[in-house]
Amino acid sequence: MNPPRLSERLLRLLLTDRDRETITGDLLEEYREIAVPARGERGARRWYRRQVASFAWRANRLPLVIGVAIGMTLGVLNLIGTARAPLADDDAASMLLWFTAVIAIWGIASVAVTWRAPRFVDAVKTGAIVGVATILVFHALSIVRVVVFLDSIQYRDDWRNLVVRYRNSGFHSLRAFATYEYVAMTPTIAAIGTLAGSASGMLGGIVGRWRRS
Amino acid sequence: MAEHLGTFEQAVLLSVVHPHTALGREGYGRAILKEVQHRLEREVAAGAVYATLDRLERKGLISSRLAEGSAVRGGRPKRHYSIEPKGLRALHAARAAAARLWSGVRLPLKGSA
Repeated sequence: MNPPRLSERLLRLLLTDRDRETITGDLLEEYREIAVPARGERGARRWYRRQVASFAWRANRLPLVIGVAIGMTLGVLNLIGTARAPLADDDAASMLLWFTAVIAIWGIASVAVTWRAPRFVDAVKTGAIVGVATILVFHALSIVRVVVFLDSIQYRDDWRNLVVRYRNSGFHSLRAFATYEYVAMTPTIAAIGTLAGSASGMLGGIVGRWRRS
Repeated sequence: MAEHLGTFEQAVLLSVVHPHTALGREGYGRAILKEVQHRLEREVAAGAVYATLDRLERKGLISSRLAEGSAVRGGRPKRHYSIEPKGLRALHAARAAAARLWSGVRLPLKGSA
């Protein structure tokens, strides 16, 4: 009788070297002695997954909260900007500034979160979590922006391609098509956020190593 | 000045220093988890207890040592916890603070409504 293999691997990843064997041993003991006899194998597996989720939340809540806060701030600024000037195009300089600022904030967050225990792998993990949380929240607010301001932003220059795709799509509503396209982009967006966040985390990890040395 | 303790930290520390159950008296991570659940009379996530134990150890309120593991846990070691003088002082201070807070209050409480 063993707990779900994937969950146990995830738990081992979440734990520090110091606690990896002792805590997985405790949970294995509880799983075999109490959870399986009391809940049955399926119930015990669910119980084990819940315990792993509790570790995941505790290990990552700070980077998650930071990521959500950054995503909310940027998303709301984007909404305000659109409300004020719905047809204004994004110029290259402001986009570059925006991306540089986000990468810098993610890097700073990685350093801050791992300040007390600077480990390179933790800084990268933190950067990835902050990155994906930021991007997903910002993306969700971008969908809100599309739904709310569609009547005006559909005339923006950078919307021409999307409008052409809509005309060839067979959809009966531009709003539904645009929302569908944005939602379909979510896995790609998440991957970009994870990669860019990891890169920022690497910068944070290098700072951490430099600080330690 | 003694360390300020939250309610959950008090439950974990009391589980280390004064366990009620036979398993709790063994004093390792899982035993403390079960003891905390017994004391609080509710299901508690393992992550919450281990995070608290880690924090209390970093503050110097408890200490730990490793011991050999049994077959049921796949031979993985156990981490046994014990209270430190600083932890005892913090518990006494928490008890005294609660007593001060409740002093002069007649039970059962009566509301104004």
